[in-house]
Amino acid sequence: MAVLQNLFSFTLTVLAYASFAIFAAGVLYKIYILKKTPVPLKIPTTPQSTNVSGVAARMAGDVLFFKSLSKGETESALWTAGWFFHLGFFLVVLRHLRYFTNPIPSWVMLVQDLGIFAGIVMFFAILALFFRRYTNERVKHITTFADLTILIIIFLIAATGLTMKYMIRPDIVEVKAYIFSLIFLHPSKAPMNPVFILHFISVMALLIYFPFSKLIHAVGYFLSPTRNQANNPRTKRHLNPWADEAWDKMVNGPRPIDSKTNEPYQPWSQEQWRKKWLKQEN
Amino acid sequence: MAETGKLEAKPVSFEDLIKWEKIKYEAPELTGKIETPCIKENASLSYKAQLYKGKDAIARLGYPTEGLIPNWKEKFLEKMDEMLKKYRSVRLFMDICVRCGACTNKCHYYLGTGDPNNMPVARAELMRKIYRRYFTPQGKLLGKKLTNSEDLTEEMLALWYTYFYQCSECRRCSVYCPYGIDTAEITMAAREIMNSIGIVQKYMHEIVDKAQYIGNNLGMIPDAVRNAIEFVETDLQEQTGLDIKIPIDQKGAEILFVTPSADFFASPHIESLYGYAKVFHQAGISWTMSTYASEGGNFGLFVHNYNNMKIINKRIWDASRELGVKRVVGGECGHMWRVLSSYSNTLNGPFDWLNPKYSIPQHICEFTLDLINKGALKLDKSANDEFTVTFHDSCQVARGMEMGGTASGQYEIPRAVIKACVNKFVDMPENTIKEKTFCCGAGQGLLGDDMLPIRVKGAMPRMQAVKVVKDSHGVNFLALICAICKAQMSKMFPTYGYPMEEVGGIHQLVSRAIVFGAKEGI
Ligand code: SF4
Ligand code: SF4
Ligand code: SF4
Repeated sequence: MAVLQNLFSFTLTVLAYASFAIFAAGVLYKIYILKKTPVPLKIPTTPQSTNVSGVAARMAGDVLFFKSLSKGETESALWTAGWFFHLGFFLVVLRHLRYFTNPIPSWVMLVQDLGIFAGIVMFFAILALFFRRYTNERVKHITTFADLTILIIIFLIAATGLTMKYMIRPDIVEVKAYIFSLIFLHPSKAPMNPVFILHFISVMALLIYFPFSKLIHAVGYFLSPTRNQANNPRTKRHLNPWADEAWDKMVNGPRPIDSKTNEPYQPWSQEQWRKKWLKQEN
Repeated sequence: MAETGKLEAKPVSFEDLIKWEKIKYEAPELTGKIETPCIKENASLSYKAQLYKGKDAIARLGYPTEGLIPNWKEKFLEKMDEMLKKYRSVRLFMDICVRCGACTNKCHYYLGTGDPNNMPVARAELMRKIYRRYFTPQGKLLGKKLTNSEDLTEEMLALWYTYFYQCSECRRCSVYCPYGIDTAEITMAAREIMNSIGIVQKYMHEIVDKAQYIGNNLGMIPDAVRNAIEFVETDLQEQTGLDIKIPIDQKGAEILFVTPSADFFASPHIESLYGYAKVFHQAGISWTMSTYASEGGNFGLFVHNYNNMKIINKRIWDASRELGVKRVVGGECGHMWRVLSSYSNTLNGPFDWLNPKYSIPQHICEFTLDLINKGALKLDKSANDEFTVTFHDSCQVARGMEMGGTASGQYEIPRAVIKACVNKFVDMPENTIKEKTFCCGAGQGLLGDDMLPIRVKGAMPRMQAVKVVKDSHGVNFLALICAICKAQMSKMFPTYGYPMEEVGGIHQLVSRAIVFGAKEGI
């Protein structure tokens, strides 16, 4: 039995490190790829501010209050569920800092109760999102297996979290000791509370899945050209890094042939126009 | 024993899958309400765009001429890879959609047809299915079912052709999307991918070619442009009894004016051309049009083909340099304005030979309003008293770029010009104007007659909004600032049972209201 437990604990530990590594490397890689991909033209969705501070204000509105989403007349349910889910998630993460810090900063202690409440809110928001996804005909139509997977993962996280709070309490000291052993790279034995283990595994699943899935919207939003570009193309020249290369390739490429004459096609050129029509100044 | 009686299913060729057929269309009853329809699978699957067969033109655009090329799958993925690497918008929008559904009922084509593939997210998913299958690790490993991805098949390609030509790239979806996902960007990339394997839509590419090589969308050689403009000039002089000039290719003029070539002929477009000429005349600023840059519009915007767009745009700036003008002013046109204002500077800038005191380029509404504010134009509002006017924000203007240097000038400036010309102005319902405006239903390559069935469906939301103000305020004039909108609306009004004459440009109103004489100087 002990051997099995040790083996299981070892697997969990490996998984913990692996998931964190995949998460960090994956997200960094995604950001790198997206940042590297050029934005050839200015395409902000107006009304967009003409200066950077205005753009930042709009983006803050989007991130903090889901401003763009709230513009729709039929999105109030989604806005409510989505906003409370994200807020709840954020507060719950803050609350969890107590397991990662020693000594625990006082503000983390202050958000403990709020964090618990947020966990409950988050749980019901997830249920609402679930419900909406399968009752709204249009949303159901576009739902993919991946959307379901993520909902299930976050549902598991929230459900096991609340279970640990209200029903099957693990030994918090043991849990914290385990987490600290992971942080300081000499892992001890994992706590063998089944609810904790499920909670732990689902969080790791989320971390692993994060960079490969739509969850990347969390960082992707900040790179979205329709939101992060200022609305000033006439006053500030935006450059396309690959413009010249593409142009050279075309200009020096083969000229199109006119099938009637079998000669290179002669467009109305600027020279012809100049010779024939350009009037002198009067 | 040989199997008998087993019918071989006749193989359906790709050409059959995307064959254009004439479809009867009918305008739906107007109720004044824009309701989200229930999903009707494949409701608009049969609305196809015609394929382009003009081999020379296709070759000139740099695409394969023989229809679907034999090794299309390879080339398709190659091109898609290129799009993903060149446009962050495309790559990012593939990744970050959470399928929340906020955009699902924002597209006028979905509202008009109920076809689920016309929901913006579903349209984009057509590309995402391929993206996940060939460009993500999970798609390569886990198979189609688990990742909701799709193999590249002719059926899939037919869906692409159908639904990426049922998007007018109006960007309404990107307003409501929490991440600003702009389906138009995806549509543009999809069209370019299809072009690169030889599936070229007729209407828009015919025009891209003409604009590139002849200089305007109608394919008129410079002599014809000249004749057309001279004809308008004579007409105008007869109408007004004044010596109003429309100068052509005049070196050393102050302003180069560009406008869609439709303005030379089409009705109601031509009325606005009268308006522009009158404004310039009254302001006493020397101006010229050009037979080299005889087109304002730039259909190159509609696909992610940077060079084609650049060539068309280049004519304007080459002409302006050659003519030695100090300012460039653009007439009423949606996509023209987007390219001219948002892209020109990137495509062909910087414009150091022009006068930096004025925005480069200027929109005619900015120009006119400036004159009005300076008192250089006298307008008699009562000349338009027979009209109660409403304004359709053209999507490419409303969601394209700033006007007047402020974030929402593109909503206020055209309205200010209208209000200076008429006594009675009302706006349509709030969710159908300004940033939330609905496209006319024919933008970005869908204006061809072959697309009429989908155009009628796509115009529905706008027509409902028109009905609301017609019923409540007796509106009898829809003011527009886009050549495509004008063409589409003057077709849709009769289709929906309203008189065609109730559609026109803003400068048509200016043209009627302008009072000549007594100049106070500028
Ligand atoms: S609103 Fe944006 S994130 Fe939501 S489904 Fe549409 S495209 Fe995707
Ligand atoms: S860009 Fe316009 S037409 Fe295209 S999917 Fe979005 S709303 Fe529909
Ligand atoms: S025609 Fe007008 S409304 Fe339609 S897409 Fe173009 S600018 Fe938008």
